Amino acid sequence: MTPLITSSRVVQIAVLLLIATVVAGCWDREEIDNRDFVLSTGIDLAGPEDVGTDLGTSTSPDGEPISSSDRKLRYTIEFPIWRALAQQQSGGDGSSGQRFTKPAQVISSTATTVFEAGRLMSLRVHRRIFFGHMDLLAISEEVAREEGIAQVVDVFERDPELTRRFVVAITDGEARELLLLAPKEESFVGTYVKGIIERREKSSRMVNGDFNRLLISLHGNKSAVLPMVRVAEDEVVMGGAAVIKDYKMVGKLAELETRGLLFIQNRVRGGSVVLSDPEKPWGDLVFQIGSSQTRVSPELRDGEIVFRIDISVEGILNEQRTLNILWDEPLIEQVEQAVSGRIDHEVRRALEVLQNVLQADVMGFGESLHRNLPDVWNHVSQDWEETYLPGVKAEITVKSNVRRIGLIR
Amino acid sequence: MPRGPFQYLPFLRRRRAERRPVTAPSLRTRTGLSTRLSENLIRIKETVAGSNDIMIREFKAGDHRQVGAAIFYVEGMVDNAVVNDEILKTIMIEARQVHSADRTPSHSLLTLAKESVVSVGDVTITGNFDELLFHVLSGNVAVLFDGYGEALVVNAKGWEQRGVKEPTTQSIIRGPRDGFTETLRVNTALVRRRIRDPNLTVEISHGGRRTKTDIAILFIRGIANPSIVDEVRKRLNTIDIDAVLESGYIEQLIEDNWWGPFSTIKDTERPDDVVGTLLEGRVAIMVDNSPFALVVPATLSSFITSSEDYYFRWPIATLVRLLRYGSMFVALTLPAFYIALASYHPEMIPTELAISIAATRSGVPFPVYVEAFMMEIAIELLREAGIRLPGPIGQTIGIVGGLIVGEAAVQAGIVSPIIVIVVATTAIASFATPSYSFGLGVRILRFPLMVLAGALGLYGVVWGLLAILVHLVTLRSFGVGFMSPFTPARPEDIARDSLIRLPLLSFQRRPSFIEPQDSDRLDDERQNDRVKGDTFDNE
Repeated sequence: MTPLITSSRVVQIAVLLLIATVVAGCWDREEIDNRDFVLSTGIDLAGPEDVGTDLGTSTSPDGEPISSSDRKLRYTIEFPIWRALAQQQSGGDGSSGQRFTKPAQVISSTATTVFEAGRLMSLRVHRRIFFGHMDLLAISEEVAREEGIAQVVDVFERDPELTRRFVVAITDGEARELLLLAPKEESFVGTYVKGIIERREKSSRMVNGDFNRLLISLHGNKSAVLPMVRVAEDEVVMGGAAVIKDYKMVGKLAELETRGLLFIQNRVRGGSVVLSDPEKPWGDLVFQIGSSQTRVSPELRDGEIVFRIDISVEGILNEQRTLNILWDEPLIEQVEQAVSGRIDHEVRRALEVLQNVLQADVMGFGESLHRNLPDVWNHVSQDWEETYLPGVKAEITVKSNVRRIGLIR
Repeated sequence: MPRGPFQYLPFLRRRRAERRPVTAPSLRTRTGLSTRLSENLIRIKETVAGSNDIMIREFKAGDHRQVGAAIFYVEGMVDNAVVNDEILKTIMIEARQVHSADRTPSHSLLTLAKESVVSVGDVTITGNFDELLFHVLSGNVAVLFDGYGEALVVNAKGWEQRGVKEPTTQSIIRGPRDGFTETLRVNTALVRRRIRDPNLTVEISHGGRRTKTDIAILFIRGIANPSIVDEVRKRLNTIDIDAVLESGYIEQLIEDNWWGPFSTIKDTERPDDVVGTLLEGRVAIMVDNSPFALVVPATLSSFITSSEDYYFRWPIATLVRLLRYGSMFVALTLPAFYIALASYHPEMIPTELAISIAATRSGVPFPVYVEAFMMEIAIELLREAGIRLPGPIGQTIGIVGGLIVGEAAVQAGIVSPIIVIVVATTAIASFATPSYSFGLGVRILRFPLMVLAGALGLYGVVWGLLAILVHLVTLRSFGVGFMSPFTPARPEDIARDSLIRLPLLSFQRRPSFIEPQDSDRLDDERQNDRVKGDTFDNE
């Protein structure tokens, strides 16, 4: 009988381990400057100008043209031109006329699917296309409404090269147009848009387009909100939100409706509430939100689903039309009530659009119900968004607190 | 005989256990001196065979100048004033009072000369010819008298030597400026001057069949672990080599591991460093003709430690320690990490930086690893050339090589500016390690890591670092783990004096991993009394 562990077996195992360590090395060596860093990607529907752009169109024996003429999607990438950047860096202020030319290239390809279009990029770009630093995925409203965002998201979710920290945004017009834009103080559109998104808390009028959060949301209930972005002349303007339901865009939220939604989601970290009432002693007054806390709790009351939404907001007064200082307590209380009223209004507006018009549960009411009242959820989950969501009652209470009047005199 | 890959390297086959102790053979052969001076002189002349630096001067001594005598020394190694005034003059003039007929031992010319004539501290009598020769070749003066089978050996050593200077490899800001010299006696005195403890032991032995170099073992009896001292003696006894020219010879012959890149014996030029380590219970080895003392057992932390750390207050000492560990890591890995990130993992570099690196690299014709190797080799060239070149030219070459060639290489598009930054940072970091010899190990290992980074990316770098770590924890230095006190872990030592250095008041015990005999170091009772007693209010 041979012992279980013989020396030859030890050698075999050792050799296997050695092979494993060597074979598992990183095999994709590609110098950093031999990669084209895609900083933003845009997805559009292919227009008539895109059809027949491939050079290899020929006619087959039975007379049918062999080409991908049924192209549906146009895939656009923006990547830096290393040489231009190097010249800008070394050249400095020398040629001021050239300073604002965009040191990036924007290239499009078209195909039936997103992945195929991405692959066909290799017919047009001579370097390895690298997505590790992508900042922005811009999807045109057309695509989002007609094709849905499922297949776009799917391709990017599968790619192991991507970080999940880029921004997904819906463009008002063509995504390619956004990518072609040359912002003045930033070389690349992707970085620019990401920068705006990072400052969203100044206004709370747009949502966070983080890819990872989008995936969580879509895998949860197939719906999500994405930031809207628009090209105005040579500027980028953001604000509002696109509502995705069943992977397709069903509508938009205006800026203040978006903030209402953010209040429900407990994601408001800043922004300002403007009170405008000439009959009050303050005239116009700006309340700057410092912090906000929301608790959402569902209840079953007489067979009706009621969501209690308790919002407490704290902030300071920042601007005022008149010079009457709001010293006394009753006046401050009035201000607080007025602020609460504005916020209550915003939340109601958002709920009305989402519950009744779009019937999309991006607020996460379903999930909240699932967690807190699982029995009820089991009953309503089948046809939740269409049948039950519009009938859900919301009990909104807003408590505002003016922490400082913002003046010392 | 076993056949293996190492059969042509016989020294590899000899295991340490088989090393046999060697005694210096020539010193033991008993060849007595003749009682006739002329025979002795002929024999000496035959032995030294016409070397003209060996002086033999014959003269007459005794009351009627009837006793033939001779002094025998090596010119240049003795102090001429001592030879003339204290030996020749005294024997020639004062020994006249001695009656030549009186040959009783107490009145013999020899003992008289030793006891009341020669006014030099170190005088011995030997009857052994080889011993006599050894003493003379070491710089002593031999005095032979006709009719005596023994000779007087007078210590009149005095040769030209370099003075005590500031050490060049271990400069510090705060602390004593003296460094060891090439003379063993000066060096042991530098240590003795700092420890007025009779327990400080200086044991001398000789190494090298031909050079018979003095080797001193220094330790403090009652503190040093006797087993380490014994191990040092045992290993020194195994040395059988014709010459010991520098302490580096001893270091390489007695070290635990001669394969690895790291030295397991610490070398230092600083007496205060040696004293500090002796007080921790370590053992120092000094070799004549070498300004570098060896300290065992050595640990990684002892290479990162500078004696200055104990002279400055503890917060800055701690900061500097952390900085050194960090710089060691940077010196080891920075080029490798750069290669790995730029070639394999650009997604791990922040976007702006990645774009900037790629932009500056555009137009560089070589892959990153070739670029890095080129620059590293250039830096190594500069370092080596800088040592060889005479002082002022060395500086010029440094500037020309480092700045002008570097700048021109970037301008010409051969290398990117980033790699210049990486390589320069690495070079600076590699000089932050207080021990030059340990820095050499790091310097060598940088290259295999770069190869791994170029071939396997970060994965390879991690494997390389793991291999280095495994090697480090298996290393031992005279029975003490090289990575002590981190592993095997001694929490108290780690806390007190490793990555960080706590205030001196916490140094109540010596490092436990050396296992000193007496571990008590500091009693903080009186300090505590002072703090409690609030001395200023006593009046």
